[in-house]
Amino acid sequence: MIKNVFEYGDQAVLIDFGDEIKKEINQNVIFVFKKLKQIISENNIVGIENITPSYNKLAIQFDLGKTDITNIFKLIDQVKNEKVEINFNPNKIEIPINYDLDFGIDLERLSKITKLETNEIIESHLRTNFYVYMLGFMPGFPYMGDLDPKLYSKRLETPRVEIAEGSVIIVEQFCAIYPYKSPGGWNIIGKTPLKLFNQSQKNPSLINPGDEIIFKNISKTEFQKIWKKNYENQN
Amino acid sequence: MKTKIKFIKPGILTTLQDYGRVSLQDIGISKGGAANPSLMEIGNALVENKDVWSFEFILSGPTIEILSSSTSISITGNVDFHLIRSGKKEIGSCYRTYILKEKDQIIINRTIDSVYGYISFSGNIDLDKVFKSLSCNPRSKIGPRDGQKIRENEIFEMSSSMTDQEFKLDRIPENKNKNKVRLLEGPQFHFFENKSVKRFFNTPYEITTTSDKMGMRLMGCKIENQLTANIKSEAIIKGAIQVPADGQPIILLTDHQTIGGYPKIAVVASADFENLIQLPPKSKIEFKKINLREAKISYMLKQETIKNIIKSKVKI
Repeated sequence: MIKNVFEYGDQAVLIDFGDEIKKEINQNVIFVFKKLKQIISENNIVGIENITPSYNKLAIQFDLGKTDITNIFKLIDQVKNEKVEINFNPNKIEIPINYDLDFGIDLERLSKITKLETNEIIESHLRTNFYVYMLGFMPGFPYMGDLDPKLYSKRLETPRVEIAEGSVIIVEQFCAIYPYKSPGGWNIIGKTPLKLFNQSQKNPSLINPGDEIIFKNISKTEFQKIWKKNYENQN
Repeated sequence: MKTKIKFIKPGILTTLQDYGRVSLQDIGISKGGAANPSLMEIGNALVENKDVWSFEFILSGPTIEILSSSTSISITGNVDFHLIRSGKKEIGSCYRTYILKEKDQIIINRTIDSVYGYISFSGNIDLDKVFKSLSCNPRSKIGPRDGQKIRENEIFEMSSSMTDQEFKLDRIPENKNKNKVRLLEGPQFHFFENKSVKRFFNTPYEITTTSDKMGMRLMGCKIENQLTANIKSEAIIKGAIQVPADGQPIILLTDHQTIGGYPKIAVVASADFENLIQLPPKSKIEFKKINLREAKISYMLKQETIKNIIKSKVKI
């Protein structure tokens, strides 16, 4: 499962799980990530600042004033030979989305690129069981895969200066959602009325690494109703 | 009785900081916190705070008025500032405390040959922490008051200190060899061509003006990549040096993004990070490669030095 562990500066290590972007590899990353967090909290291990999963790697950052790399290697040894339980009850989330063309502003352009009708793009997106590889880029921004290869698209050559929060975007085999307004070069296919990130909540991120996501088509009226509830009531 | 202060001028980019917030990088939030935590720590030791927090300013600092009650303050860094005490203007000294009363002012002009300075007040600030930290990151909007920078005429309240004793330090931090930065090999060190790596360690690089607290862009000899300029995005850490396709290195700093897809040639040794982040744009840096053992020893030595500086506190 773990291919290699190497030093990453003097206060971090990087665990390598393989070369590709594949769900099976990432599930190992997430398994070790969750297992390490569990061991750390059960044994009150101090000095570990961040454990960050990505597609095929896991970084452990520590405070050199409180622990050192020998302890980190010992910790990794504890999980190295664990049997991977892939079926660790992934958190399943349904995300409402509206694909109207005023939200899905790139659908028609994508239709030309992919030679699919916009309806076929939407249907394929709705059929896909997405898996969350990692979060990053900005708080709560999920990298989800994998789209049907027929929907393959590249980034815009000139990124947009501002994309609305809640925009659902695709590029290559990935789908993501903007938690905040942001510049960006991904293709916009729709918009969700859900709030992805709320710093005043204990679990601030709606979506977490390893979660499974499915999208649900909603009408503009439903969209407005949920949007109002999420964005207007809590200022 | 609470101490009330008002930012008459906010400065270019003044923010509230502590040591930052941990265990959130997996959901897209890096640790952040003070750019130069040792200066913040020394400042707080001077005003006798157990809970460490400061206002961090960049290049041109704020003007602050004490609206009510009295407080003890300290300014740490290499900072040019004035005080107005009982109506009289005087030149201020760093690394000592001043007791300030109602209507007194702190006028911070600028940081000298450095970027970040800290002003510490005794007592706790009346704000709720966000994820156990007061640190503000205006870009990601994380922190109290949505992580925003201090605005003109913004008012803060804090618990007052009862002290009327002023302190100074017998030893102050020195920055010898601040333009020499020690590095460890990065995870993709072998991606780079031998000749380029040699040049990277043997010629100086200049810090460009497009640098900020997220990252420092360097200009110098182009670093040739013999494998690929894109990798599968992986976790970024403070001090990682990534090299995009144009061959010009970028050092990720305190408010770095959480993941990134460029190969990393090296990582800054923790002992040298604070020196590095204090270098203003257009400074030249030289790199030196060291191993993990040397990095650990220099970090321990540095921590020891900070402790000794704090221990050198004496009454005025």
